[in-house]
Amino acid sequence: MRARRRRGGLFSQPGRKIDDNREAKPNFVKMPATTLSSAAPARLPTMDRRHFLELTLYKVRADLKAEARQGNLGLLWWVVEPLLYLGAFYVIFGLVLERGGPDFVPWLLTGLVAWKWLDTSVRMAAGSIRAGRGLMNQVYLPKLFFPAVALLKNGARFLFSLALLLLFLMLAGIQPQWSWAALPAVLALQALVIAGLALVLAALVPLWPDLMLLVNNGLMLLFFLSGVFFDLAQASGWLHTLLMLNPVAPVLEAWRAALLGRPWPHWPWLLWAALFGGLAVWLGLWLLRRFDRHYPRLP
Amino acid sequence: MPLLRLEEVGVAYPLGRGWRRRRLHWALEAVSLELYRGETLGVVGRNGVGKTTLLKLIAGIIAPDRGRILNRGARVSMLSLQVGFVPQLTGRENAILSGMLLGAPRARLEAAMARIAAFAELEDFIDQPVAGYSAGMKARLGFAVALEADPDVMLIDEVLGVGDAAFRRKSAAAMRERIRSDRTVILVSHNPGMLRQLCDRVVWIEAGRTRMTGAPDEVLAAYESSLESASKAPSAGP
Repeated sequence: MRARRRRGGLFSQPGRKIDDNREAKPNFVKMPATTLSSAAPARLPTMDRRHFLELTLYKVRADLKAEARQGNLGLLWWVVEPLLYLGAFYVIFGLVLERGGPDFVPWLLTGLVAWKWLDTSVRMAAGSIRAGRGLMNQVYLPKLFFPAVALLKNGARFLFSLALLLLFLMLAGIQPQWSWAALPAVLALQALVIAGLALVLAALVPLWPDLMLLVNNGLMLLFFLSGVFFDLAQASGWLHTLLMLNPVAPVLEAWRAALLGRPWPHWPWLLWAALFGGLAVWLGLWLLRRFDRHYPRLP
Repeated sequence: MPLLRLEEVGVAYPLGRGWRRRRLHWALEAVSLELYRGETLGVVGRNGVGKTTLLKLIAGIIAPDRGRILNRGARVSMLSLQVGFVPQLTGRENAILSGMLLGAPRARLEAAMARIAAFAELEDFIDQPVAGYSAGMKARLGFAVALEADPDVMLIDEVLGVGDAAFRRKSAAAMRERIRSDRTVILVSHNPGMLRQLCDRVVWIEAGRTRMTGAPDEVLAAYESSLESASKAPSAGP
């Protein structure tokens, strides 16, 4: 157990033998944790996994509670806020413009709910490590803590939007079908893509704060490219391929396939989205670990 | 065998901005010290010699740019008060959150909640949101939690007591008791009197380097005489 923990993972530093660390070069990120003898492992203080998990979940619950106690509406805001968001689009596209026929509004709202989950999560996580500078200078924390709290908190809020969406779809006359059973798999796929983008950006933004501006504009661009407003199936040939390379696009198509009976995207696109998400998560975790003790020094 | 050992440890910060941050400022040049289980080690030095940076290194918050830190698996944390407090949460919730951030398991904090509330003199308010607390109440709760978190090695920067006069006496007494017991403590200060009273050994840091290590009387006498010779220049010294 102990040996396994020393080998790697987020919560331990790579152990180095005493003799290959003789020279003293300025070195900003490498962790000079060493082993004195084979008897006892010596390392920089870390946090064990169980405590990390317990702390993260407690912090998520505490933050949600704090939010619910803020303002007069409290908990109700988690319902009212997505209601207002979806309501605005419903009024404009469903009642005022009457665009695209009766199927258009459910199609649009499904895309919007999925998109908003990604957009808010990525924004919040991207700034989370920078926002946690005060805390990380008082206690040692694996820096995964900050984006993980942001992602879990936002995931909880998203569940309210999802419930509202399903309610709306049923009110709009869309009967629950067997394909709805695929929704958890679609959610899991999107969660992976979100986590990947969020962790990589959370790790990079503190190193290069200007990136936050790019994140804001990049998300806007992604919003238009991901097929929230227009059906990517209308594009054909190389343009369609190009658009589907954006991993968010096949995820949105999968949502609409599961909930609205639209055609499923070809499975290689779903596989690509999963692969993208998985690789990005891996890269994000690697970066967070590499700069773990560098972040507290950044201004 | 020391619990913790620093070997010629240095920390540098880049000067300037942008891509060409070539020049380095060494906040710590080469500090060496050893910490043994159960002892209270004092660190003395004037303001701006890198004492805070040193504590961050020992707590594992930052890593050294040169030299080595050897830690035999001790849980080290700074005595930080009110870490991670969230105003909308109750005293109880904040105590658990803050204690967990300091490394204490949740179950132990919950079991100790009555003791925390009693020490902080907040029995009637522990389930009220901290937003409604006075500064003194928050300070008391923060201190009670930090005392209860109880890491293997506690790092204390200067201040022992907090709050109003009465609570400051009580908290300082509790901290002194903790220091005198067989806890392992690193106590940083520029006040030789306090260090002489509480420490088993003292390390003197000067200009980012270990100047002297040894018995409190010996090291502090040397430190004080260096201050005196420096204070012939009118502005130096407290």
